Amino acid sequence: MSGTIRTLPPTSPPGGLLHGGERTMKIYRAWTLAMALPLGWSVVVFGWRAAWMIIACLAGAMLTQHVVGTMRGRNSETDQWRAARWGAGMALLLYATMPTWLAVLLGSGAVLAGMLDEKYEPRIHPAVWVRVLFVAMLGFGGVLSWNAVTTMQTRGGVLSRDVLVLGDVTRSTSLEGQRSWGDDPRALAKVSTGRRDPLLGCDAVEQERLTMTLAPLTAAGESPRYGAVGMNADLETPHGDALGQAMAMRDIAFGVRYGMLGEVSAIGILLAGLFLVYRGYVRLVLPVGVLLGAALTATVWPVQLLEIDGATSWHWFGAFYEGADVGLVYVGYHILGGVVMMGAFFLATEMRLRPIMTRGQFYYGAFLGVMMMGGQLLFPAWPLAGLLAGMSLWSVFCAIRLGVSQPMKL
Amino acid sequence: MNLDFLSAGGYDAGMTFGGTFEGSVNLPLHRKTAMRRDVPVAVELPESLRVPLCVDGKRSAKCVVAPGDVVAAGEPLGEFSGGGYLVAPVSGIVGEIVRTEICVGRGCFEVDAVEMHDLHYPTSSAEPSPEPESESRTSEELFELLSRAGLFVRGERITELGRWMSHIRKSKATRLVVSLLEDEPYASSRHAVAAHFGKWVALGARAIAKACGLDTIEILVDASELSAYDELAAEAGMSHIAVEVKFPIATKRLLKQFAGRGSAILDGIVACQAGQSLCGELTCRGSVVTVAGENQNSPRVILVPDGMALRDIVADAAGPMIAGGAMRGQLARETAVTSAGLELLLSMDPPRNVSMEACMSCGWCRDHCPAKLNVSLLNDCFELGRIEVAQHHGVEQCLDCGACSYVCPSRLALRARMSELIEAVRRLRSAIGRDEQ
Repeated sequence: MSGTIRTLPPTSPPGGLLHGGERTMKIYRAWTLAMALPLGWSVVVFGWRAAWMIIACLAGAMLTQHVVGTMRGRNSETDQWRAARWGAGMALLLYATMPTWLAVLLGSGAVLAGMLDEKYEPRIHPAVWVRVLFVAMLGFGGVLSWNAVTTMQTRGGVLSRDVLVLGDVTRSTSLEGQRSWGDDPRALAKVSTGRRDPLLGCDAVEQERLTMTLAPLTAAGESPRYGAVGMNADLETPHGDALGQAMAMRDIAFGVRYGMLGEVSAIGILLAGLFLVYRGYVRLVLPVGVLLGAALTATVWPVQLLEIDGATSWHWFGAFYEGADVGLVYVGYHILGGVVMMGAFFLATEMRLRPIMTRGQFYYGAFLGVMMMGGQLLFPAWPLAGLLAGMSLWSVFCAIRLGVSQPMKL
Repeated sequence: MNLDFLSAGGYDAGMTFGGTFEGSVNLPLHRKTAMRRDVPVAVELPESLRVPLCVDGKRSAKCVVAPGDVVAAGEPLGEFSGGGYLVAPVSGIVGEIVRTEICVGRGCFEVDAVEMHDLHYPTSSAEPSPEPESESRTSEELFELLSRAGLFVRGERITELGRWMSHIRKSKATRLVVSLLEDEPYASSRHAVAAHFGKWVALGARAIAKACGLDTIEILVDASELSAYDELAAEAGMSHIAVEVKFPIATKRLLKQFAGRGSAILDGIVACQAGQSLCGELTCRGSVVTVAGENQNSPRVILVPDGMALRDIVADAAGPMIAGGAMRGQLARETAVTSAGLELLLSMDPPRNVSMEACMSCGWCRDHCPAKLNVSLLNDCFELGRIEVAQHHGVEQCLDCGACSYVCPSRLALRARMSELIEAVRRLRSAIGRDEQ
């Protein structure tokens, strides 16, 4: 006789019988721990207000994961019109952290992608929506740490023979053309500092803008003192030392002066990021890609040369215009200013949006590095605009990441 | 064949260091292979056995005995339609045809079984005879003898040894690679067999190689436990390939990567049983089972006849039984019995209150996947029902090893999901084929 075979219903739990020790919350804890170093350093040097930016970044990242988790079950219900609505919402909220036209452009791209592309990946819809929240959190953090935002505005791409200032000259002497939350930086300055000069009627931040001039590092006829970055105004740090002198690279690297993000130690971020790499939460290829992309962009990006008579001219490969030492300072100042390091290790590595595969991560990192530095140079008042625009673009056109997959034939 | 991930090392005194490969899971020490040195001993026979007439959940053998027949160990109980026999694991009296349950791979099956009672082991010696007859037999004689031995080769599916040898004869294989690597956490059956029955393994390997017309024999061993293979190393004409063991390096498809082209991979336990069978020393047709697990106070390696109730084997440990390993096995029912291919029986509690969370795209599944699949993306395909996208991204390359499920911090059932995707891809392909016809 030949027997019959009947398949019995499975008995095993679906999740497998053996698991490693990692859990999602454990990853969050590790990220929090990693952030403790630059956060603590900022608090020690500049006080609690300086920590707002970092807290906002971390909260945004955690919120991203949480909201993705709660929304993920509704993927199948997502349609193109919903994607379009999210795109529109993103356009509105991006307005807070980047120039209007760029926010509108990005939002419109999201809308069009959601409406027109039949292959639009539904899984990115929650991601786009969460990115909106993420951006909103960053904008919120930026408002709270307004000191950081205003400090950003003094940075940009200007390189001069006698004057080495990283700042947008055309904007440094006037409030004209500067846009911020509510288009009223004076009101925000009140929020940020609260200390107003009785003679000038403004606080130190406004004073910086109003009185900003290019500070020569050398006297006429002397050799330029390269290797340092000049500041302009006689502002004081919370510890009382003047900022009007040259800012050494090591100062901005260690975070004892206001950097691009305001009050963040580049070395602190680097150590925290390497901790995440060591724990396996971040693959080194991604931040390396970001840093390479940013450095390359800063190297080739045209700089505005300030002539003695006040006229300006543009030069490609500005990093090499004054020699290698100036180039190193120029590029290094951009890299160590805070935004790039923070973006490379803590924003670009946000798991939900970054690609999975190694090659995809490198492309993504390099793309974000270029976008970040481009945004930083084009819109010094919104240094995060480039990064967030890059992440949003990658999210909207998420299908790009799908192509980078190479299973091994076994 | 992509061999980029192999890091071939030096060659020293017949020993090739195969290195390791990218990805996989480096298990914590207590979950690694137990590496027990116990002599695999035969269990005390129960009052009756329910020898299943099916070993893989797909093909069932035709029963060739009647109730009341007296059978000796190794005599046929059933015959498969394509050739090959299912034999009595021990000597005894045939009873009724009954229904029983077996656990094979990822499935549980209810199959027909031959009940046997009045059981006893045949007598045997501990060592092979000095001049085994197999040395003087022709390849055809060996082929015939081994085909009737009632042994099964466990690979991606369970196959009779005779059918496996026929396949190897028709293939372009030129060498026999005997694997002594374990392919599940906690397992140590092959280590114990190699350490204590090395001469049987060598004898059986030589006989099978001769029967299949293969020129050379190599042995795949754990590089960290080379001393356990001294007895095997003493055998002339057999070289070693030592590999750094990480889960799932012993999976059949990965072993082929290490062994290279023209290799026929054979389970070391089957080689041992073949050697014993040729000399008439195979006391028990069945499995060499590692009994282990976190609830098991006395882990051991034992010889178990087919058809023995799993609960009788782990009677000293309460709680759930897991047949087949913690990565790829399953919770066994109380009524399940042993069948060919069972190597590991664990006493451990399955994880409780495991709540799956949304994929956070950490990418560890991809990092640990030996096939380098973008498992996160494939998981999205599963959730969104995108079968064609999953096919495009190579879901069928999945080894079903479970490394992704092990490392997933969100506790997603990735392995089960990949299996379902593969099934869906195959259904889709067959549907397309029907449409084209």
